[in-house]
Amino acid sequence: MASLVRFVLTKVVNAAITLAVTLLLISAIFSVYTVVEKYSAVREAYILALRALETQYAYNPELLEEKRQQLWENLLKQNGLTGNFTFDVINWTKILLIRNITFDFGTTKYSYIGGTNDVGEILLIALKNTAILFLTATLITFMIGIILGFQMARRPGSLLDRAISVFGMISWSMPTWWVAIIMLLIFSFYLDLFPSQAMYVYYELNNLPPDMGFFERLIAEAKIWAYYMTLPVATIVLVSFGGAAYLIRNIVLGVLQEDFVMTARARGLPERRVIYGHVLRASSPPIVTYLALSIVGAFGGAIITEAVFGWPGMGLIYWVAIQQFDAPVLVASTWVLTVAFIVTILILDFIYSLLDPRVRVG
Amino acid sequence: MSVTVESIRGFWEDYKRSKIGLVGLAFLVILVAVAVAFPLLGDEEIIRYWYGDQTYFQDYPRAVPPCWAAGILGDREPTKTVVVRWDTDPERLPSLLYLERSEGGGLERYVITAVFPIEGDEIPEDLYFAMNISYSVAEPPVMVEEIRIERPDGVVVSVRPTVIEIALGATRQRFVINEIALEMPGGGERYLVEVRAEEAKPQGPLAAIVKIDTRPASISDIFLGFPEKSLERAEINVNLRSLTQTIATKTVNALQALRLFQNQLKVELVSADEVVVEAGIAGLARALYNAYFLEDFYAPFRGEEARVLDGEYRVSIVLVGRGLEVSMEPLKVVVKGSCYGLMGTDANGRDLWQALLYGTRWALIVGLLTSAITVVAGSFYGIAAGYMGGLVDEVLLRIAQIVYSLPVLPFLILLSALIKPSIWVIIILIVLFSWPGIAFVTRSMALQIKSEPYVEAAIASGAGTLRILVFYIFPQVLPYMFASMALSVPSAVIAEASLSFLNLGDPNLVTWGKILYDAQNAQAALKGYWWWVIPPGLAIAVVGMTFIFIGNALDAILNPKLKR
Repeated sequence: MASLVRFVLTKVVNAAITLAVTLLLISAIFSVYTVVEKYSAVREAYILALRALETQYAYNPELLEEKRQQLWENLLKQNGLTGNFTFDVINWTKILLIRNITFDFGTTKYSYIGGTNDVGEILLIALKNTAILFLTATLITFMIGIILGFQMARRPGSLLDRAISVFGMISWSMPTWWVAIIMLLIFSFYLDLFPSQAMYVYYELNNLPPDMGFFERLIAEAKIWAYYMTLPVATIVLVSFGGAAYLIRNIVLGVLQEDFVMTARARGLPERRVIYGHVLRASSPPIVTYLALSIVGAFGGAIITEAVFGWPGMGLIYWVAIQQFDAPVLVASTWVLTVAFIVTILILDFIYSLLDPRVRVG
Repeated sequence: MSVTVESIRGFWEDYKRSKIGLVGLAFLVILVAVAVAFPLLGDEEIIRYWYGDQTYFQDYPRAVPPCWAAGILGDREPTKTVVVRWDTDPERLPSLLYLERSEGGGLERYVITAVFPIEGDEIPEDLYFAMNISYSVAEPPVMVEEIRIERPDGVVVSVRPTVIEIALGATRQRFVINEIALEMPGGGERYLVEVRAEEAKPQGPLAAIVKIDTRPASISDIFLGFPEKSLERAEINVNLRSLTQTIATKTVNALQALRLFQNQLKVELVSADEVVVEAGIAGLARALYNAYFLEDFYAPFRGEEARVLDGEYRVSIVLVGRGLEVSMEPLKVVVKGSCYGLMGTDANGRDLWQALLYGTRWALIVGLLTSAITVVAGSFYGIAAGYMGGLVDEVLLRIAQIVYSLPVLPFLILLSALIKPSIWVIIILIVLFSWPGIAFVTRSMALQIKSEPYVEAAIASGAGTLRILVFYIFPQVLPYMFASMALSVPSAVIAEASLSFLNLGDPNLVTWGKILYDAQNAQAALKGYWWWVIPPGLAIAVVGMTFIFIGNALDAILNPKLKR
């Protein structure tokens, strides 16, 4: 038990350090960016105002010099700067650190989703939607991956094994968001089965008549979710299940060569129980580790995929923020995403520690 | 592990046994050949103008599929695009655009003829030619006697702009009306618009109307803004679509005006079917444009599809005048068809095949450079941590773990958005986030190697840490890293493409990701422009596959434990 606590504690400390470093990095980068922007804004305003000043005080050079100085300092003060670049950067880094830690990102002048201008609220909605999409897709990927992977491992070198292996290699080399575009081309343009943009999902949900029975409503809502989510989920699954199956196959193949499998078979256990009782149990910790890693890998592709489908998640926020160059939103979303991401990995690590008896018992 | 001819031969023997490895190698050779030989295979000028002056692409049809795709697109063959320009094709142009001179009836007559070769079933988006023209006339105006189009089947569509002057009391009114006739190959004419301008008996309150004169229209009546007396070397662009539009507008407007004088003049729109008359100016313009190309030019009005005749179309403009002198330099002849080249065009008319070829270069540079730097830096980091051990190892490992557990793409997006990097900076950014995986593997290798006797011997003989890392451990680790190098190419290529797809890549480079960004911006997928979205992604996938295949083959040889 003590070793379990130690394992989890190490992971938590690791995650905390990672978060702290990330926080510092993001705040510092954005602070430099902000201060540079502010200085150039001040300089522009100064040059503009200087013309008027020069004509106004042309008769008295000394007064002009004084007024000039005054103008520069006023402009700096208006923008919350001191004139010392390093000091300003450190100062801004501090402000941003506090903002990020408290998740208080202020408001944005652009409109994103949910009809609010509060960056925190927008990101919360987006994160929820990303989680819905990404978790569904990951679960389906792993179900298919485990079933296929076990089948492949039981008959290595078979047609299924080779076909899925090659398919895995091919799908690994395709950008997920490109597959998303092709899916739209086929299923939205040519077959007209699914919508081209998914952002109207909540609009449709809200448009359901209020006087529906519970089950009626359930079915209607499920239909709407299926209509809008099928294509994005299918895209992520299509791109990742081949690779998942291939890796799980390798893990299982390794376990199958262990002595305890031979023992179980020698004891005359039916093959099903050997596979799903013993082998699955023993290979689940590395599979969970792989799950964590694959989330790392698939995540980036998935957020751009969201942008392609117009799914109202973090990807869409990124896309819109880049188009409008809304730097504060970019920074806030990177930070929120990193937190969500590291917490997810931490949870998976915890599950791993529960599954792996070596960690539990030590 | 010293590299000898023998060991390379042995390695090659092993490699040859991997089918997938050979396929990958063949792809790699092709890709490298395309990247290196682009100046021979493609057109560098197109790439230079890609993000520059878009008027360079104005002669090409927009968002049209490749010509070979006819079978996929249905039974109608798309019409091929022909662009013959003075600056690129000076030999061919004079045979397609020329000036002839003749005399008759005391008038000088110049005929400007443009030849349009048409191949395909669909009515071309547009036909036009451009030239520099100068003219002068002794007795103004310069008149346009006829605009005629000879079709490949011998039918001639002839437009004769005619001026009718009418006196109404003291005021005179002048109308330009176009007679439009179809001359059949066996002889005989069929009128689309016929002007029967004959004097009728004066009646009622408009009795004062007298028809005065009919004659060919002057050049300024047809080509707006052209002086009637002389012109010094001006560029003129004759566009068939707008020409038919002009002719139709003038004809119908003149008809409406003339209807006021119906009793005095008989002006009729004959034989053009009621559909054309009912559809007004647009209908007449369309009927006229169709008449240039279609055997049954009313078919589109009935909602039927009609095929275009294949062959050469001759468009002639006949200028007449007393003492007329005309000189002409041809500039270009263009058939804007409904298909183009090997990969079609994008919404700006840019030839996608060129960008596809050119993109290979940057995909390979980004992929190879990124993976090479990643692997060398990562393995150096790893062996340093493993060899030094202790606190250094602990700290280095922690740092690697932090970088490893960051979501890469959001960070790349953030950094690229803030610093707007060039391709080289992007390569470094990708390296910054992708080295830890390699470092973990090499660290564990270094842990084993450092207790080997020859390393201990080196330490005993006083070799420094750096020397041991560079000359004793690194060469041991490197061969195993070749597989990782190949296997990390696809993710680097995809990462760069992803940034480009978000328009965060190098703004001056034509890359596959950028083509897809443009496609996404133009909503290409939702409009069914498959030739715009499929090839660049497939190209990315081919590069990825090439290196995965090679990497897997290398992995099987270098890490025999994994051989099954």
